[in-house]
Amino acid sequence: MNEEQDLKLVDDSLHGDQKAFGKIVDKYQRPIFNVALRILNNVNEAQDIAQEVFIKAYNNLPNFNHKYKLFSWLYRIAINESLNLQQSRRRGEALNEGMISGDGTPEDILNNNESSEMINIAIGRLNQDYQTVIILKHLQGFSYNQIGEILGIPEKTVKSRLFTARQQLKDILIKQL
Amino acid sequence: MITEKQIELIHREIDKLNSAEESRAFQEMLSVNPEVKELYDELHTLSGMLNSVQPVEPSPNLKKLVLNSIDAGRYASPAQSSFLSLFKPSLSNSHTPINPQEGFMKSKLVISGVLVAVIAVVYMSFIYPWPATNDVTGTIGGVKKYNSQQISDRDVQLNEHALTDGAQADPEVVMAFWKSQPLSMRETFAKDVNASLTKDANASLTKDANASLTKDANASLTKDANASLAKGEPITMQKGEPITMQKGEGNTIQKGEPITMQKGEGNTIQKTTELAMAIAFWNTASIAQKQEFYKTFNDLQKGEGNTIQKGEGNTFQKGEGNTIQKGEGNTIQKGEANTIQKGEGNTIQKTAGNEVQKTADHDQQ
Repeated sequence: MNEEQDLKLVDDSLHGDQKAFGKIVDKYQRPIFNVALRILNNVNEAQDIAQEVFIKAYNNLPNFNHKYKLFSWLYRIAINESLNLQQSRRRGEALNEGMISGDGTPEDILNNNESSEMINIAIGRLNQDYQTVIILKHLQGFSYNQIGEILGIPEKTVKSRLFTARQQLKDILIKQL
Repeated sequence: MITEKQIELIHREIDKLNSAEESRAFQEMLSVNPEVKELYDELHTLSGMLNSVQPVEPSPNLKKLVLNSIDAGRYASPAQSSFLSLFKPSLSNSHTPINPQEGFMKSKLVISGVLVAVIAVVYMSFIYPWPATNDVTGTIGGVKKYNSQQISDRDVQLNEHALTDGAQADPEVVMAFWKSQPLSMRETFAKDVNASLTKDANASLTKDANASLTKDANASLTKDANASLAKGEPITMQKGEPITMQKGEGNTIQKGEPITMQKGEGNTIQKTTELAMAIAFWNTASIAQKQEFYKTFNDLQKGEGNTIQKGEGNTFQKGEGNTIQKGEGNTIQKGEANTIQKGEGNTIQKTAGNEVQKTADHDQQ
């Protein structure tokens, strides 16, 4: 993540350069969509959340504090929006909806989708605090430090939550199998 | 029983945070502790499963949807949005609550103002004063409109005397007062003055031009109509372009477009000098501000009530109660009740009631 480039894009956007904001969307739409998808396990809702995240970000650009990183700000919005939506609906209602395909051969995709589905269902059964650290660590590849920055919690708390989350997830998956 | 330390080592190994040495020690521990090894294997497998989940591509329309949903003009530069901003609330300050009623009233006022201005221009251009309509019938040609470039701030240069009216202060003081203000404040003031005068100038020029053009046009149209058209004859379009007068008395002008005087010829436009701006600013200052500044200004210029030590060749003007210590060759003019101590060779002119203490060899005139 090139932070200087991000800040430049933010400044340009604030000066009326809509293309600059388009570049921000280009750069972050995929990870933001995937975070929402893993939390909500619903493609359409994830799509809506991703759209909402960028609109909110655009409308609040003047409030963006340059001492933070753009990606962590966007992720935080995405996580908050997704968790809010998740809370507002009845849990499990959308868990049976399928995922859209990723990369690889159809067979890989099928196998992957099966395991993805199982994992998503298991993640969905975790407490929201644990869901987010698992998603950010394993599905987004962030470090403890970055996760702490996104969630606004100390690194020590990130580790503690992650260790517990893994343990709980393991237990859930073993039960599912 | 697995300890907290061992659990942390397991997670650190999964996250590849252990050093080579720690990793080697961890592997040795696994070989001797089956319970730790079992937990590690389970968590390692879980981690592998999680890491194998592939990202999903969002809809290709996502970007388009986002860009279509945002307000493209939200952060437009002031130059781009200055006119439109009159009609909608400021979006760049989204964190500031906007009173919708206030915005509505503002728009309403602006729109009303524009409408009134347009109606006034149309009226002044084509209707007032009413042309003589006796025996006038037919279609008359259009008024030649005055077309020239849009006037701008640069075209309007302020008349010096317009700013100096009522100004009685010494230009030096006024200029010093002006320059003592912060640059940003001076720039804002100059901008406001220019904007205001430009607006006034435009209004005045437009009014004069419309009155003149309407008068000329009416005179010309009436004369032509009277000369060439007999009552009730078919209408002949002469010179007609946008303006059409219809048959009959009490003609109504339709399709008329407002005549707008832009940058009138023969107008006297004079330049604004910094002094003029300074005087304008001086005239806006309160008496208290002026007095305060005078005090500062006089302090700087060895004014009233100052004490000068070791002065040489100083000249006091209008001083009162000044005290000169060890002065040499000082000249006091119009001073009253000045006290000179230990002065040598001082000259006191036109003084009354001056008190000289411990002096010797003073030359009193």
